[in-house]
Amino acid sequence: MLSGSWRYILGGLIIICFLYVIWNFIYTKKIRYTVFSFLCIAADFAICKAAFLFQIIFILLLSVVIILRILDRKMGLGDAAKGIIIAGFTCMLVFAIVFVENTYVGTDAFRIDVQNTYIKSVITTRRYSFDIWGKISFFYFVVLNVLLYVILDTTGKLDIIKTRKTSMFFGTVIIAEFIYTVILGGLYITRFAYENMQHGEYLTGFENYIQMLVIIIIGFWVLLIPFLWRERKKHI
Amino acid sequence: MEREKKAYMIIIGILFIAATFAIALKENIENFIAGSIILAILTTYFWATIGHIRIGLYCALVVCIIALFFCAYSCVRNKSTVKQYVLTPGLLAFIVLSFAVIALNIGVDAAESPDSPYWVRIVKGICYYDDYWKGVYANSHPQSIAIWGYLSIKTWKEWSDTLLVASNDMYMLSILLPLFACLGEKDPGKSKTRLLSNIVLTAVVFIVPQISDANEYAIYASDMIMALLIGMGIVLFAKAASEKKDVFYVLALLYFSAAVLTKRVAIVIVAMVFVWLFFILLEEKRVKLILLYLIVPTLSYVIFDRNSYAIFIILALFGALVLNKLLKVKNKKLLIIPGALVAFGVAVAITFVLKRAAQKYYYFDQKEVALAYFKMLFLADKDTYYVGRIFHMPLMLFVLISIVIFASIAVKHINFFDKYEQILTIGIFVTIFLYVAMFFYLYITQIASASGVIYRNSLLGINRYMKVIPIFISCFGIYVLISRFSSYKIMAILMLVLFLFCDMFSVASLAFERPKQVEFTGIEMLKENLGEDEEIAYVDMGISNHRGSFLLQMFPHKYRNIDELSYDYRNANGGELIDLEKLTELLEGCDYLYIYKADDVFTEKYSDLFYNQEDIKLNDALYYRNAENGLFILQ
Repeated sequence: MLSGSWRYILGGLIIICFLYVIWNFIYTKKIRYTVFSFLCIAADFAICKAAFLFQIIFILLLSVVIILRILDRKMGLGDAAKGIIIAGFTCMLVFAIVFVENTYVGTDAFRIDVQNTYIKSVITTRRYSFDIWGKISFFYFVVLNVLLYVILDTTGKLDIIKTRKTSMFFGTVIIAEFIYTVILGGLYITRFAYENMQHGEYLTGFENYIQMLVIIIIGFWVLLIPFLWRERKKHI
Repeated sequence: MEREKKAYMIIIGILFIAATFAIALKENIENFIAGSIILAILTTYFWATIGHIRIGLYCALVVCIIALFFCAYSCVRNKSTVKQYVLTPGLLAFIVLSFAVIALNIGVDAAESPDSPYWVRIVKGICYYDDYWKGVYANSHPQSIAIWGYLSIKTWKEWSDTLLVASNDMYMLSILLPLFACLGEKDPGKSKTRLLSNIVLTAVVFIVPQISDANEYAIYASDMIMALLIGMGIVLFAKAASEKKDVFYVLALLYFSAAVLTKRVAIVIVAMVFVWLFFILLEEKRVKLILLYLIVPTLSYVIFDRNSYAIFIILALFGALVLNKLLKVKNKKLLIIPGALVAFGVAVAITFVLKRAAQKYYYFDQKEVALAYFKMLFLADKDTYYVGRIFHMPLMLFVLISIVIFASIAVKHINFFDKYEQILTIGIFVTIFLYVAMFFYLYITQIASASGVIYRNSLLGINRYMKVIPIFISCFGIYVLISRFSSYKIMAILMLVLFLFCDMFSVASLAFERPKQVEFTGIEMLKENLGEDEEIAYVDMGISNHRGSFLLQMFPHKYRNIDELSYDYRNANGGELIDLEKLTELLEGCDYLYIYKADDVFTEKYSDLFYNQEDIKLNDALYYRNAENGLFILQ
């Protein structure tokens, strides 16, 4: 099931340690976890730049999420005002997408082709597939995992670790993966495809990057176990 | 000197009309947006059919202005009502989605839509001539979406493909909007606003039309609109029956009338659905509503489409009456003999019809087409129709799973569905089976016959006909779910499950792929100088032929596509180029020739046609044709 360069697999495993450490820090607020997280970042910087990129994205995103939560509590905006802000933000996002697409991809046939190939590779099993019961592409793998999480949350199986802000953490991981996928696509379109085209294939190394993201999600489920165990011990 | 045309958009006026209804009737505005659009369409359509479409436009605008004043007045006098019923999450969602749909369609080429030489050209004709019957050059479908396109384009400064496609999308979104008003209405512990649920529901509403294999937001087509109108019409009827509010009966009726005026096949589907609706109305003894439901769609179809298929609606009422009486019979045993006789009669009728079809369409193998059709239904063949993207589910399997889900919920929780929803659920599934049977008949007779030898067994157009079925089930299923569970987690599960059924590649294309309209240089200048009877020939030898775009951009001038030089024609006929004489013959009567793209072999074979044989331009080149001297290059 796992294939590809050892760097990326190791990078993915280090990210799992990193997530564990950050999660503990959020809950326990002990300084030693900050030190461990820096160690993880440094390790990934040396071993696998792609994993380092993910860690940076994750840290930034988590800070934004936490700041928004604090702001939300402090400002106490009503649902209507929040709705308008989110609507305005969505419109700006759409505008930004159209602008970026027109500027950086535009009518360049090569870039359009790379972009389409990239999107197809993420959504279909063209390049990568998670093989459990038949082939599942990366996008649908993520959708199924999020679906599993939401179902478990709704049916109350995860209530025991509610204090650990599991939903916020899982949500941040998923959004970080989405941002990472978009940035990876941008890098392919602007640099990698030109520099590294092999045998007419634009997306060299695609499986490595995507597999790392898959390892992160599986790692999250694996991480739940020690947390569940700890909380269970507390309640017993 | 032409006055600088003012630009305003009819959709804004429609929002004011919807707000007026919301304030007056004290229901959320999202229920009325599509209803207002449909009323504007019906008014303009009426004036269009009697030859004065401009008056219809003015009527719509006058009503918009009156609504604007009423809203302004209400803002002053009735602030709380306005706040409660107009400034709703649904309205905000509609504004955001409309903005998204416009921004993401900038530069779209309406010619890329399926059958664009029919659908898009009709709207273009109506807009250009300001005359409905001049624009509708081939009256095969009723043209309610063309009327909406006319209203949108005429309230903007010029023709715009983006606006045409975007206004169609806004119509499509407004049809689904009443779901926002249904959020949590049967949930006893509901709170006033639920931010996250509404956000996720916005994503759900946006995704629903993509339960097909096309990028529904980037094309100008009527199939999805028809499917949504009927699906949401059923939802509004269920809401009307459960809450006993007549407003929703009228809204549902508007939806069905609009559906009937969108495509020809809609009248039959609506009639099948009406059997169940009439059944419920008979149970409730709502005679006035029964008459309304009988008269309005029938009249619409007769006035606007001028044929007699509306008889199906009357048959539907008759069917409902019979059903009603049958179910009231106390001693069910009495029904066995008549039931058996009817079943026997139906079997004989079906055999007779099939035999007659076999005799009439003897010239092709009907059994093969029938086999292909059954294969499509029960096996997920890559080339025909299947549901779902992550796994390919054959249509019948999807329907079966839906039946199992609905049935198991109904059995496990006896009071989950109220009696109207039970009847409608059964009704939807029976309608689906009748619909599939009807298309079986149509495919082995007319459609296969019209498809030609090459496409006969490929079930031409099957995607467009069958995608209607998941929409019916989804609309009703989503309504049942969100009216009872308003938690955002349930919404999220719904959205993720829909992701598994939608073509996410086309969603990603919508967001990330910027469409580009094909440009034919020099055409604008040519159009100004072209006379009424002058014709321009079009040559395009490339793999993707742009004759559709050329036709629409050249409109209303005459154009002649030299199909014999196109890639598809050459591919189907051995790859040989036609003779110089044949080409000269084909160009007879054309005053201009436009070559979008031609191969070098073109120069080799046809250089004699050109005045200056040394310098022949083969890409994006415009030539003037002189009968004696040949082709002069213009640019």
